[in-house]
Amino acid sequence: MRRLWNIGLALVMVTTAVAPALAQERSPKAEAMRILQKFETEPSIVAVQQAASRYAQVNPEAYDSWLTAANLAYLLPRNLRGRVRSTNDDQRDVRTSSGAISDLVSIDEQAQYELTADWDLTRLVFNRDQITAARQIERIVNQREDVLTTVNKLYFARRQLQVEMELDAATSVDRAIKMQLRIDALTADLDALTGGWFSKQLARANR
Amino acid sequence: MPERVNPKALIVACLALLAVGSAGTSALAQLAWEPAGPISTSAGMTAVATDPDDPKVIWLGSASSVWVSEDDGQTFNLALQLSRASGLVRETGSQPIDPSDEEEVQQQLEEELGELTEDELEDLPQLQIDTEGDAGARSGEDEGFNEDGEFVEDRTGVVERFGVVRLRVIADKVYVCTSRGLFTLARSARRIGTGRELRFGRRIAVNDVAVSPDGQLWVATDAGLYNVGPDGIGRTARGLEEDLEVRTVVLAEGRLVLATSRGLRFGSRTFDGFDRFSLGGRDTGLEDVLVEPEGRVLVSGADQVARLLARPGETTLVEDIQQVPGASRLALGRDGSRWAVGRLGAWRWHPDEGWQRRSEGLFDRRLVDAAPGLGGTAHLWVVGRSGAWRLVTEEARVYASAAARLAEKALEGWPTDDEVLRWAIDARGVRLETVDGWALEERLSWLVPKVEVRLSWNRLRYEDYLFIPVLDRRLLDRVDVRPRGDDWLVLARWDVMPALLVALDGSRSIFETTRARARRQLERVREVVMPLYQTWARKKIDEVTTEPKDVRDAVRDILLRQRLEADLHVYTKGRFPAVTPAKGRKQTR
Repeated sequence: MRRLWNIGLALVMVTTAVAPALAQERSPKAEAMRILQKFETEPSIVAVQQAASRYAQVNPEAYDSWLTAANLAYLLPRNLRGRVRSTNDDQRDVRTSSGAISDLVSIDEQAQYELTADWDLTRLVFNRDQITAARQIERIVNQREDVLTTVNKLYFARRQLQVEMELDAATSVDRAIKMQLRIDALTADLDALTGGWFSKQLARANR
Repeated sequence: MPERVNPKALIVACLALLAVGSAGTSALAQLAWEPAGPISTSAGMTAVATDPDDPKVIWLGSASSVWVSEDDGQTFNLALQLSRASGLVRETGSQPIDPSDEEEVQQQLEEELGELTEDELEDLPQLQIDTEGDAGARSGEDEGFNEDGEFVEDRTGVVERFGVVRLRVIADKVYVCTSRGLFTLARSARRIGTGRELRFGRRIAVNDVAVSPDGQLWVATDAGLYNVGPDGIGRTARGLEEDLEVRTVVLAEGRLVLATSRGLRFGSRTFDGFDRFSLGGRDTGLEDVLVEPEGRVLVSGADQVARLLARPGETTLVEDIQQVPGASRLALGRDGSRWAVGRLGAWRWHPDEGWQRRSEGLFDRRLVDAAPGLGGTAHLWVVGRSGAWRLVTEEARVYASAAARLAEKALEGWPTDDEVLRWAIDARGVRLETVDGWALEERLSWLVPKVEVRLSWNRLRYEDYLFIPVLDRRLLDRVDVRPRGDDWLVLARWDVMPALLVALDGSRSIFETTRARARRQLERVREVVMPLYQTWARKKIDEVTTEPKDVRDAVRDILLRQRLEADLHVYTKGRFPAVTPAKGRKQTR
């Protein structure tokens, strides 16, 4: 009786231990996550986006302060002029006093310093540079979005192919080569958009 | 979104005793579109009707089903399933869908109705590099208004007419007009079971129905007008040309009025003859007719909406005709306002401004039908590629409870559509309010002077020399430097000319151009970011509610969702969190 109870207990323990694992294996989502985790050493999409925007010089930090700067620039004077004038006409005033002693007073030497600054304070309220800056920002934002959505497209297309290779690894060599070539092509595209940064990161991850 | 108060402008305005001109402030829209309808078919709706006697009852038609709500659109029940019975064939020439394969039906309908599949996502309108400044890329602007304000039409967008094309609530029945025949439902139906097909000879595309006072049913079809008598037999209407596509039939002043592929037709009071009337040129196709009081009818079609005075026995007069691009269906709002909807959105008529587009907030402008909101919260119902929408006051803006429950679970802790839209607009740099602020600042800037500050120092040098006779030389004895006429000058000048110019020319072209650009940016954001968010939200909801078929499907779903997150991350300048794994949430801001 005791032996039967032991066997039963062992069966329960084994079932308890194995069942969740089996269930997880059977869950497509869990399996998908397991496959995707294999690529976690590669650069994340956000990192690739940052590299691409740095390379294309379209990162928001570059233009965020333009509007404020365009406005604050007019805190400085529009014109600042200085003038130094020195005159000497050799005019002398000779005064003779008692005896042979005489005084000579020079009164002609004159120095004039002048500093003039002018501010157009109306520009502090409104200036057209803001509109120009806004237009440039709009252009850069468009470029940024275009570059980065392209990066997204390439990155996830590449990841999809990587997963396909994982899932179909053993079907045929010909297919595997073709897929690897497509992955390499997408890697090269990402390199072109990040100035070679992507491949460097891949190499670093594989070390 | 709350309007920002420009502190600079406020300060200057406070300083000013007189301000030239007035600041243009845009009144906040009181009404807003919100999605409604059964979530499982939110991929697209094709017809809508409201019950004139019970304002809380709404009928919706999709490609294959009819839904009914009795709580003002909060929840919907399936009332009629058409796909198995009718074997829908798309009129635009695509392959017939095998109705026995439900999965194929769903897949094809979803594809046709705008559900973004992975492949289609590849073709989502991207914001392209604007290399030419003002005249740069205008992705997603194939149709709409060009930079000069002229309307550019995309004739490739064929109006898709398939599935349920019109719903009419008449007497105790709901008439379901479909591309493959006419069906009826009991008006009291709230579940599947009362639907039946009404055969009247041939199975043809039925566009509309009307019931004359004598109880006769008039059926508008692609092959003419039919009169179905009490015996159930359909007979061709007398006095009407053959091969005439009748798109709408209504009763006005006791006679039939038809919108056809070759103009209007006014029936006689004895229902045995028709008079022709052309609008916008001979044989111009018309889409819809809406009956107004005092013998007036509103007619849409050929990118126009016309108001006619059409009393029996009198000459029909065109009282008003205006361009309304894309308008096909007409409806009256709850407040009696006139609405036109079509492939370019919803338009509202205003006595001072004429027809103005009111599509702000609609995910997809391609609308196909409209119905008045007769009570409850909705002012107007519209349907189109992005499902059913209702126009409600901002205060009453709540999601349908069923959708809200699902969305709440799946999207808990995630940015809302409003947040994402606001972030995306912020990311574009300049908003409409900013431009309005600039215009105000320019108007007031002359109040602040141009200032010149001058400092001048003048120094006179005195030198005393003492003559020493013994040496026979003069030696410097004393130097005295004295200030002479030091001067501070502060000069303030006000240039009044700009103020006069602004007063004379209220709408400065520079601001109009910038405002137009900001508006275009806003449109782009709405056209690109909102569909992205909607697709992402659907994917999130799907992730919670469904289990993928296999690993490949699961990976594709996860990667697609991650790519959508990455795109939203870009469009919101990094404020939308990306990229999250399937389990848990890792934010990268």
